[in-house]
Amino acid sequence: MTTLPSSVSVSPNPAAQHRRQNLHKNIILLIGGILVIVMAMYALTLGPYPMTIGDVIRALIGNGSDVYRAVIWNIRMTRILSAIFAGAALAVSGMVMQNVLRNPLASPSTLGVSRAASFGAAFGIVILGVGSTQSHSVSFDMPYLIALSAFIASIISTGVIILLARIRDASPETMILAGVAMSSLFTAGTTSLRYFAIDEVQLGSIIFWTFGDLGRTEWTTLTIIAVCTVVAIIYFFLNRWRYNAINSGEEVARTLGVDTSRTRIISLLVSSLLTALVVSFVGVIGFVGLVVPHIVRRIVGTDSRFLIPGCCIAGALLLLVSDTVARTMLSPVIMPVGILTSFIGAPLFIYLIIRGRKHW
Amino acid sequence: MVDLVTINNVSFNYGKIPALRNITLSIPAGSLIGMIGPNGSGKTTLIRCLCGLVKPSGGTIIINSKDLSSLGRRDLARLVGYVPQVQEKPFPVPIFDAVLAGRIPHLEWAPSIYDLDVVSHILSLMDLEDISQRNINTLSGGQMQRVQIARALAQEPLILCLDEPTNNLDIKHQLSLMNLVRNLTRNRNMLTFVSIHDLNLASQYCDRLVLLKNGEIFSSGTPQEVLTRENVRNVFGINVAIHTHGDLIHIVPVNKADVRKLEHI
Repeated sequence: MTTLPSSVSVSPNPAAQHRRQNLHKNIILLIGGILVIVMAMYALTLGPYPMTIGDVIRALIGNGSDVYRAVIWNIRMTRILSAIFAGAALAVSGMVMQNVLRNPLASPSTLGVSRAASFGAAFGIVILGVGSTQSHSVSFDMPYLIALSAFIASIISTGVIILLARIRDASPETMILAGVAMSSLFTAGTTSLRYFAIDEVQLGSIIFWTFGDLGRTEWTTLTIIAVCTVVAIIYFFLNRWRYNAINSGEEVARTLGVDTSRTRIISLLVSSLLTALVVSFVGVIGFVGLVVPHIVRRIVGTDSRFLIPGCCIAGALLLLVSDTVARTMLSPVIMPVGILTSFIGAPLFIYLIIRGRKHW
Repeated sequence: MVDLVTINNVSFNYGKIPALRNITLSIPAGSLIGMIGPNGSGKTTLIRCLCGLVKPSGGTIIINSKDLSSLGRRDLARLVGYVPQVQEKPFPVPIFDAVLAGRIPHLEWAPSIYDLDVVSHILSLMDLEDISQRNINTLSGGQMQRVQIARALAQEPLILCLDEPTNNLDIKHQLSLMNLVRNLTRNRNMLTFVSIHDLNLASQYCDRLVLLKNGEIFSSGTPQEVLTRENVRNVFGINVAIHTHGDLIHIVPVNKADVRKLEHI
């Protein structure tokens, strides 16, 4: 047995440096967490019914006028918490996908989850006929049915990818390619459903659904999203060392005692289901799952111990800020946040490619 | 003396194609074993069997009197360290973190002080302590190779397997790497397997050589016993001249026409 001599601490430098780095990372995470809370408080004051921060705090602790309390608790709070949980869910899922597939381009969109959900929603609107009945306006009469339809489509897409991985091999390449194939299949499906939509209202509903909008949630859906997000994050965090091992390379990870195929498949399943759930309730919110993990890697590094919480915080912050901008920028018009994230996301990603290409 | 590794009649098939046949070897700790042989002769497959990356189709591998097939993944990871031929491009991590990954088979919730000390110690052993916070994407081939070995050593293994570690290194780094591996093997009383193409390098540093041909052991023993003109001709199909300088041997490939000339010298 190779044991170390007792005078191990000849040079404590590297370990001390490592601990110092970890402390820095923890401080950054703490600052990020505080920023989310501050931003959430600020966002609560904004809207067509202006309030001061004092009004908000009074309403939160149960004082103040009934109107304020109603506005805060029934309208703004669900929206803000949705932004926080959806942002965290999308970002951390993207990070896990990138990590287990060891591919910087993996994300809910590249793996076909978003496209499948869009197809499912369009299927619900056109074939199941929910969403356009008598209202003659773009609305979703039965949001749960559309969400369910979107969720089922995402599960089918994920299922096909994982099944393919089981038949062929669970290699990252197989899965990415399968995701690309499923994406284009579902896009074709959505396009044909649009063609067969009976009226403009249906057509409008399909298109409108694809713009992710946090205003669609209420307390029940928010609770579902929040519980699932928290459970998934706990699962991911328990796997943090496996993700670190996988980052050392496929074979190395296996010789470090990690069942890489199993880890990859279960992690992909959990992250896909989580994004499918979020997308089913709020619509497609592009780029958060792709861009946030790359930004966070530049700030706290690749170690999953810090990357997982970092992605949750940064995803929450990004979506919260984006949504706040989207709903106040053209006030009283509320822009769906999905449009804004795509606008911010694409140039941000190009910037990361130019500045940070050495990172992968 | 009980041998650290006993390979008993091991065979391996890729589908229907046999890659290893009836491999039997028994080796004590503290030796550096060179696996030599042409491409496709089974060097890498044998290493992969030893690391548990593939399961032998037949036969047994006994490490430290435990049957490899009965060991769990983590147990095996505490016994055998592996340095692959090519490093897949990871997301960037500092050297310290890359080496800390070697502690994963020993970790429960978080690295202990002991784990961090093991990493520190190995970094200084591998002359990497001054750059421990540098990102591994910025390293040269030789440095990267040292980081990989450091990670494998952090596992505190009894067996170390290196798959063609000298590929992509210039001659100076080849020599220093083999020297390092030999010293580590002796000082830590490990058993190290390297697959290697350079016969001179192999003969110079390895305690024993295993010459493979078509998945079978053609010859094994000391470099002098294994690297004979007949063996090299039979396995590689080339003619060589072998010069002896004390303990060292030099193998020089020759054309048929040149053989006579060389024999004159």
